[in-house]
Amino acid sequence: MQKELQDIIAQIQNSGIPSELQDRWAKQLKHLEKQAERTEFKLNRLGQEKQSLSAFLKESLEVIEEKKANIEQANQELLQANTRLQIAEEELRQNAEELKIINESLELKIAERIKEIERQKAIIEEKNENITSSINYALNIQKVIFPDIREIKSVFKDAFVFFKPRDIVSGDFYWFYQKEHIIILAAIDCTGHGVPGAFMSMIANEFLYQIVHEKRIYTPDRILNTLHRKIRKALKQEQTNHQDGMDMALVKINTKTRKMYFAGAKNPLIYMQEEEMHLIKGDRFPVGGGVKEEERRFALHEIDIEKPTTFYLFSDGYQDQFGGPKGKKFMTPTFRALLHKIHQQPCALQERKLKNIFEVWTKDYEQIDDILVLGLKI
Amino acid sequence: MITAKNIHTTTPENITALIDECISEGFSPTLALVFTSVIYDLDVISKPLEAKNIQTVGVTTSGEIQDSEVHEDSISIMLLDIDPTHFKVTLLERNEESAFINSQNLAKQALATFEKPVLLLFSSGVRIDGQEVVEGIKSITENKVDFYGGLAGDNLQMQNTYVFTNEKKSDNAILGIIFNEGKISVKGVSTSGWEAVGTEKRITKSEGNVVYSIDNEPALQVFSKYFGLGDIQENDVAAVIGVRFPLQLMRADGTSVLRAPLVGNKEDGSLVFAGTVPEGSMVKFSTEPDFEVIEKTIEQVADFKETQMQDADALLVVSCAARKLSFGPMVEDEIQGVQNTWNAPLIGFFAYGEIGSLKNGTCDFHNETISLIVIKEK
Repeated sequence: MQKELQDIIAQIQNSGIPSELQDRWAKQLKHLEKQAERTEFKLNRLGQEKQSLSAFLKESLEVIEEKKANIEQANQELLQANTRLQIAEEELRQNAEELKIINESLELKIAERIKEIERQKAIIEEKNENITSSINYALNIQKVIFPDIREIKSVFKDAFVFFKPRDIVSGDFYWFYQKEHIIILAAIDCTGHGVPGAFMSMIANEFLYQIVHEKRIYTPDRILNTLHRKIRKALKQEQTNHQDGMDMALVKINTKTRKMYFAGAKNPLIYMQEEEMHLIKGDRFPVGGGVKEEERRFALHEIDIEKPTTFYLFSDGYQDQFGGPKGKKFMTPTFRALLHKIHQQPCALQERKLKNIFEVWTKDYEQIDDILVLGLKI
Repeated sequence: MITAKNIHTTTPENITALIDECISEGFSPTLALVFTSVIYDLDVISKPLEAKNIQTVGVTTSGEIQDSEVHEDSISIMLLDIDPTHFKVTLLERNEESAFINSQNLAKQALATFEKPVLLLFSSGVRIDGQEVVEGIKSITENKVDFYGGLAGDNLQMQNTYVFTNEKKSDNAILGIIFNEGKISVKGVSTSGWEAVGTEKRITKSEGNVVYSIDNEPALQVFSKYFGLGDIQENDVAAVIGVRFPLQLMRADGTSVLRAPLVGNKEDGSLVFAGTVPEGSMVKFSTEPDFEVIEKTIEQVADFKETQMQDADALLVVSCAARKLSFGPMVEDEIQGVQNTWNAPLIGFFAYGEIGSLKNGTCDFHNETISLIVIKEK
């Protein structure tokens, strides 16, 4: 381009045109050449831009098409998934329908069952009521065999009976006999509690009556020996595996000789003299049940009661009761210590303390056995 | 007032005579800003300046700018008559340390030299990460010191770029002029024009300024595919991609900066950018601006003059090599427009990266911008 321009300028210079005009034309030509150069550049750049932007658009469109295809495929998959979901939904709806029917049928069955249960409940409640009523009546019968505390108090300086059956009727009971200068007193703990215990207590009471009132056997060891034989015989324990029997502590007091005699089947006698606690253990076997020997020889213990004496007969219910902060048994040592602590107090107060302490101890726990504690002052 | 005079030559041997010509007019320069093509022996350029006791700040280019003209394969020198106590020239070579540490050291020197410094800095090194250079300065000055400058060029050969002084030259160093801001005002503005195009893409693998993959495809292949560029030679990356399709790097704060690739690696498909491109960041392609953007640049510069710097003793332009290629002969219109705004001596060069601030922004590393720096003695 520059050479062409130089050639043209040379031609102008050689043409004989006035130099002023030549200069103006040359300047104009140079300007035109500059403009042409710029235009050429712009055209080239635009051409390049067109080319690259076409490529860019083409590629972008391809990418967009690819993305579109991906989206369409994803859409198709979504549609398929949606169809599957609809089918699943329909299945779920049918299942729900079936479940509803099953549920309704179950509800009907449940309603019937509830009705049946309520009917049975009513029967049971009625039976329970009858049974409770029967047991309450049995209690009346049992009460008849229990000695009147006033009777006991009349022969002792002071006395209390803390008696707390676990159920309505009790397997624990106390027995009292007095004729002239002879007093016999026993605390008996028959196997079990409730109705079975009460049955045993009736049997024991009857046999003790026969032994003491009819046969006039007053010596404690002999009373227990005889009672053992009678129980064994009555319950046919030599032939069967029948285990029922009773633990008991029995004393005879001769007010004339100021002597007290004790025999125990597993249960001990505790007595206090001059603030000192004495313990005479019972024999290690019960009356009836357990060991199958025909004869059982209970030991006889003699206690001098010249000095003022407070003594206690009891079942194992109090010390075996669970309670306290750690839910443990009250325990025998604690029970004995308690008796020692309160023995000098009036019997009514002792009874109240035993009762209060028991209630505090068993606060969050159920009573597990019948409770019987007899306290007497001679 | 600083007196500035420009000399331009394509014959280094003429430099002494040209300086003498200036000095004979009663002008006594102390500092020379030298922007030269890499084709010249740099010692031949600096020696005559040293002989005249003028401190040289030399940078190789991808085109030289002087007043309103753009040159290639030439030497442009601005001689400045500034009180030598108002500035300090320092060249810090990178030995083992990173560009970050290297520029930190420059910043420390600046703070140690003047109470309130302002920096002009130029870096050599084709693979240098301009962002690291900027971050190193910022880490020391905490945005309290303004700094402007750019990365040296080598006519888009992407082989070796240099900075030099009277004493040293280096292809891996940072060269700074530390001005006393109390005496000399140095302010700048940068503007671009490249527009984002297409959808956002993710940098899926990168290390510093080396990008390995975009959307999981080799980076070089992505550009080639999108713009139909075919087989790109490694050293043509700057000219083919960097100029025309730089990346808009979206930053977390919503702003964006341009990042131009300079060289490529066909083996692993990676591209070395002029600045950091973090892995995981989002980018868009850009396309070249319309020629009308030149008018906008001139308007923006006029606005800068109006609001920031009404008078100028000297003007320095660091324009991206991309602008020269993209605007072709019209790039002179842009330079001319800038110079006409103040009508002061102007010098500059086409660079591989610019350091300056976009309108209302802080100093940052850019590509594809024209960065104008205005110098005025207070």
